[in-house]
Amino acid sequence: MMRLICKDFKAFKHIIVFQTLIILMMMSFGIFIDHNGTLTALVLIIYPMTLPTVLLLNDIKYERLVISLPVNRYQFVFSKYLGGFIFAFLIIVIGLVYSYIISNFKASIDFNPLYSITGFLILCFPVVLCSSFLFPVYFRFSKSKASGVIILMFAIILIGLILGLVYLEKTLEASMQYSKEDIFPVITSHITNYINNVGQNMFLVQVIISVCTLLTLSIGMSLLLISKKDIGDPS
Amino acid sequence: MYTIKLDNVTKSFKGFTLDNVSFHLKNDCIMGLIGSNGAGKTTIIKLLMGLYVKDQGIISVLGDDPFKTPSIKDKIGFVYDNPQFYDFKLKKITKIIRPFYNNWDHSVYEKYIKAFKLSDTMRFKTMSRGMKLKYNLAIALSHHAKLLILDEPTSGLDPVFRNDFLSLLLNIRDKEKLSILFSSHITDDVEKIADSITYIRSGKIIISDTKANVFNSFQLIKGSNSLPKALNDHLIGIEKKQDNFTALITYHPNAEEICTTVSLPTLEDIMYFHERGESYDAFNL
Repeated sequence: MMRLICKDFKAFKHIIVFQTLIILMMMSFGIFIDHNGTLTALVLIIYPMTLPTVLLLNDIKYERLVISLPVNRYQFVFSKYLGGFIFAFLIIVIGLVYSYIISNFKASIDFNPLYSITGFLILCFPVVLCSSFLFPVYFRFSKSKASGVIILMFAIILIGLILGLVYLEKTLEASMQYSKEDIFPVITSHITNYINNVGQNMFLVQVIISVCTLLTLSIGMSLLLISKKDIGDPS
Repeated sequence: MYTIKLDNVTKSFKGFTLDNVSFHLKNDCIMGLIGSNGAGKTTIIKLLMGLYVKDQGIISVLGDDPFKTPSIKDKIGFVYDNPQFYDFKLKKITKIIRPFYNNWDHSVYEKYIKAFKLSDTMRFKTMSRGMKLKYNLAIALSHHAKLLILDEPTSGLDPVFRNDFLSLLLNIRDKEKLSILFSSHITDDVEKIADSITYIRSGKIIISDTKANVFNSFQLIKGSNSLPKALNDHLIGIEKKQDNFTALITYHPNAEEICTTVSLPTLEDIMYFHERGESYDAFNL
């Protein structure tokens, strides 16, 4: 499996480097227009979140070549998850280090909430969530068909988001009570309150169980789908 | 004894079925897999490479099923009809591919790159089809494979390199003691180098035997009138013209007494008359 992860790094290091540079560049510009660091932190969520899927998308068109090598289909699937997460977490760490450096240039920017378990979870969880939903689709369908399925999935997510926004409108008044100094005041406060109620250890256990369940379901589904997949176009 | 064994392998797609396919490739032999477009040659090759999931049957390549035991592909060199590698310079592609093969021999690779007049600085996407095939072949030959699986390797090659390529295959087989499965619809190429021939038509194996047996099983007859009744049961396919006919029949011991012109068919004749049957020429409008 390490050979497959190394292959992805050799083949797609330009994408990883490019994404990292984009993050650093957007964070650098972000602090000038951002009053509390929310927009800058958003960059640190969105780009790493999409990285594993971007890497998979770039490799899936060479699926016939890769599966023709002495490679187990299951190792191929595992390597996509593991490699994607390693590269995504790596650029999150680079981003966090960079955020610490740039926060010294603007007093109103406070990235401290990110340097906590809660903050780190906010950054990492979307990576797992996005990959867990999208990977099985790409392992089941060809790239073009998968894109159609994913558009449908995003349409459903969009509807969910709109409903979420309606909910946010209702809780807007409540959000005013939270400190504007915080990054994502509503969500971080909700999470902090929840952690206070259940206790930090229990919260960590719950998050780990949720992530493990989600990943087990997603990887299990990907393994099942790829084991039945005919790779290459049928004659 | 056998490098490849396929027993009653079935694979269905919408509109196409590979139906109970069985054939065996002996060690150190070259098998030509022939058939018209869409006959199922590529499907067989993809099953052998573990790319397709079979519906039924037994597939054994070098003693293992490549779908269940992909590590066996360490001993298989493959060349596809439409080579697909990462869009980088050859040097980088090779750097990506070579760690997957335990027996990678870089000096052999460099020898082939030089012999094929390729350069490590060439970019894969900008190369011609022939050059892509050459590069794919260099990769396939650089890890001391025990089996080469080649899907339409000669289509798209210029005649000079095609002949060199066929000689190369014969040399490699003799030197490295490997087996070669070689699909093509260019029957001349198969006739030149194959020890055995498997002919597939609409997903069914029509012939699978040694080259000598295949040629000795058929006769090409020509006549001025209609086909003699005594040969009706032996008829495979016939081409009728205004005042003569040419037909392919299965071997008949007295064919030479019945017909004036009896000859050994070429592989192209065998394939042509099997495909044609007794139908009228579709292009003779």
